[in-house]
Amino acid sequence: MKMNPVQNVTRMLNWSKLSVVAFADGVIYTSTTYSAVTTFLNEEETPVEDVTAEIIEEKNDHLICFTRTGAVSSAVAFDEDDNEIPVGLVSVWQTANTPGAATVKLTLKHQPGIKTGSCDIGDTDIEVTFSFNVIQQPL
Amino acid sequence: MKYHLLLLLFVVGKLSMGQTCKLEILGQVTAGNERLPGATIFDRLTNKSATTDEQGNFVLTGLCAGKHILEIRFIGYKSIEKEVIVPVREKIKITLEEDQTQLSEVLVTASSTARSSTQLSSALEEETLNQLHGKPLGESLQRIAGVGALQTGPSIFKPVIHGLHSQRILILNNGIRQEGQQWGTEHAPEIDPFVAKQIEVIKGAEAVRYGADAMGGVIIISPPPLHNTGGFGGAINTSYQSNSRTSTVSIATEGLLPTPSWSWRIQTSGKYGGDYNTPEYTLSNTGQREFNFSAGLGYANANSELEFYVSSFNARIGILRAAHAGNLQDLNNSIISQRPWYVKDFSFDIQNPYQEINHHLFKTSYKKNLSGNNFIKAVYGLQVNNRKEFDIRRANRGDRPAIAMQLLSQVFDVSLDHVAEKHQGSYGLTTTIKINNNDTETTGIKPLIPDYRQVAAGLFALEKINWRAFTFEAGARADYQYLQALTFTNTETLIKPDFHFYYLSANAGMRYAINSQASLTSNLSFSNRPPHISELFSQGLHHGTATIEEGLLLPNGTLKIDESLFKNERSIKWLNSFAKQSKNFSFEASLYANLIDNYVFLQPKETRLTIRGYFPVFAYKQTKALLAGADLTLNYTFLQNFQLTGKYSYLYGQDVTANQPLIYMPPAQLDTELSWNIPYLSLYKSFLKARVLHVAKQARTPRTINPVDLEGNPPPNETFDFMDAPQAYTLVNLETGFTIPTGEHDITFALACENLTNQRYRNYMNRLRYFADDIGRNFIVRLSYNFYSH
Repeated sequence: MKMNPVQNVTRMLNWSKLSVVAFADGVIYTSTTYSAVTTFLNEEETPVEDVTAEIIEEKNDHLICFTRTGAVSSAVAFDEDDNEIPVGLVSVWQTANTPGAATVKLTLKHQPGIKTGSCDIGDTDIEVTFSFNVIQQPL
Repeated sequence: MKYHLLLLLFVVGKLSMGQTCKLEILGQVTAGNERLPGATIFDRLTNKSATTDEQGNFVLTGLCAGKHILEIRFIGYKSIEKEVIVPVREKIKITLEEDQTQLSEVLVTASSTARSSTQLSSALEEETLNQLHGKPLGESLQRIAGVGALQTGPSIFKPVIHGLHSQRILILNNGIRQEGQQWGTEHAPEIDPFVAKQIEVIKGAEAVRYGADAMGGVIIISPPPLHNTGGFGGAINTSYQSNSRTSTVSIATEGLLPTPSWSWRIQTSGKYGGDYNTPEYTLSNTGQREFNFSAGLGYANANSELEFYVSSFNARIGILRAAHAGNLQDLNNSIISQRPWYVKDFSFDIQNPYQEINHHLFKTSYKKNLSGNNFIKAVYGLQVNNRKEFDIRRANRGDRPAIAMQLLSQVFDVSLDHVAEKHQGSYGLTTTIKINNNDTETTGIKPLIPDYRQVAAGLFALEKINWRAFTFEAGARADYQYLQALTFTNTETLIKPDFHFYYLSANAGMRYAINSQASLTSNLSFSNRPPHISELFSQGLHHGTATIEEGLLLPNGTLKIDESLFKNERSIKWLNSFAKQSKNFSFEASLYANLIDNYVFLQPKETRLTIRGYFPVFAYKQTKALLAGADLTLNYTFLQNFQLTGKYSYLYGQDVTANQPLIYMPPAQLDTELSWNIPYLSLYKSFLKARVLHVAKQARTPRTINPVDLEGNPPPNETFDFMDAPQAYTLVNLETGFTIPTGEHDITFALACENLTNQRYRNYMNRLRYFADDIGRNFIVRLSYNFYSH
């Protein structure tokens, strides 16, 4: 997995399962490019199991798709698998210039041996929608 | 292949030249412990006949070597056919059975099980079954008018009789009630069809004789009787089909023990196959494996019969990989794309998801003739059913099943039957004990249906009276069932709710023989069934179907032990049939109406958001349902060797309360077959057959809602489907075959082509129709070898 510096990256996002509370400081600002690192935790198991390693290992069979609305103007996968097809464990989000509500839906697709970059194939392992507010960048 | 065929013909030609037509058959006809004088023996091949003397002995002379079919007749006894290979080493012994249902000769009644004679039944005989070797049981049964199948891909077939299935159909396997995990729509009967010599389907409600499980009908699987064997013999059946590259082998041997009156049979079969294919793509992960075994040991003398039987059914069946829908969006994508998202090259490998099923049976039965015309029968059976379903699971848990359970059941039935000229009857007691355990340690998942204990007992009485051209019949039954579930409340506390069910069934029927060729039958049956454990307690995600299922006791998704939440299912079925049979023509028409109160079915309730997105929640509901329909069967023989058979069935299924069609009701279909029995010199039973199956589009369906339109919008309280019913289709099948008799052995060869035109189609009753087409052209080769057959 590549991890290149992104121009104007000012903050890192981290989250687990159904919550968005794990944003670096809980606030997302307008006109900012964020680099997001996704971690998948299986909290049905005790102790909680980190499934991310398995996804990295099988990155050629997995794809995380992003569907955005509102004050996030783009959310795209940044990392690539061995076939140079996106994975999405690291993604780049651009927030809009005006503040407002936003949602980003993450869908983890399992596409064993058939991955093309399309989100319409394979079966869905996880689908989570994050809702949050994008607020005005302090001057 | 051509080379081999020529070689065989050459051998036969040589044999035919060496034939001498001076051979004879010596035999003796008995019934019970008495010798039968005056019985007629008729050789179909030569038209020669003989009559038995005072000692029951007969001799047929001037016969050629080879296979002969003898027909043995004596008034008051069931006529039987016997294949005899001349020259015969020893005197053949023929035992006739008293005809208990003389008036119902129109029906095929080879089954020795005492049952209603005013019910509608049809059977698949040995010859037909031979042509279906290698097919799953449920697929073979579709040859009978009015019998369909709920399918999950190309190898899982669940029988549907007049629109009813699962808990409402009883399977009687070699005289014992099959106790498996029949509640799931993707659970096929755990039976090896190779054990059967005859499969009979009773289409009426036989709840009086067999209990509530027989509300929708009974499938009777009969192996050949053990005590009729006359020496060592057996058969090897092999088949290969091009679509899925499946090979099947079955070997059966039977014989007599050195000790008098004891006989045995051992049978084993195996199946190995890979992915099926449609005309355009492979159905990845639809391979299957099967290994089955059975053994029987029987003792029979004039007054009693004792039998022991063990069998073991073991199967691993792959489920189409693309049918694993993650959530509603995935399901939508599958429906829109018209092509499965997962298509790989052909493979024999079976990956997740798949099912692994083992069913073991031990049975013993005893029958004794008492004084007069009474006999007593007792059957005990022990069955162990293991079912494991392996799903697609994350984090290398794929080798851990998502469902793993064991059902241990014991059955003990005893009945007292009497057979007199004017009246026949049966009285009996049936008991069942069932223990179901989930292996949650292995699965790590809350089970879909809980552990349970069940004890059930029923008492029944049936009586038949013959008066002039009429047969009247009436029966009644009382049942008690104790059910204890071991389940968890939402706070994870173990609770053990228990239930006591009392219920009654009754049946009345009449048969009128209009003349020697035509008869009219009418039967009215009332049956009653408490909901099954799965209908009460189901709770969880059914991965293959991407649905969450909730039982009647989970009104708001949370378990509530309240008996007012459900009622017993009650069915009133009226079945009428008219049958006519003449030399070249036979016809049977039946009409039925089944009104079911508190009919249990799965209805969509809402959508639920989970970590994997939206899932539809289906809740078991009860409603008033009407199932009515007609079955027509026609058989016409012309120009001596040609036979035309037509079978038509139509079913109307309506949810009366909601005033909308019932979902998953078989569409109308017409099955026609033209066969030509080729009169060819040394080849025996050679034929050429063309079969055309037309399945209409199911016009009466609930409305269609696209899966994505459901997301977050709980649908109204109505039944719907995710996809429109598929279009009508017509399939053409061709088959040819012949038998080569070689002394005491014979070889049968058959070649068939199914879906000759490689037609693309989807079947409304196949749950995988949301994801993929049905299977394309398929060539089948069958080779059977019978040795020392009798």
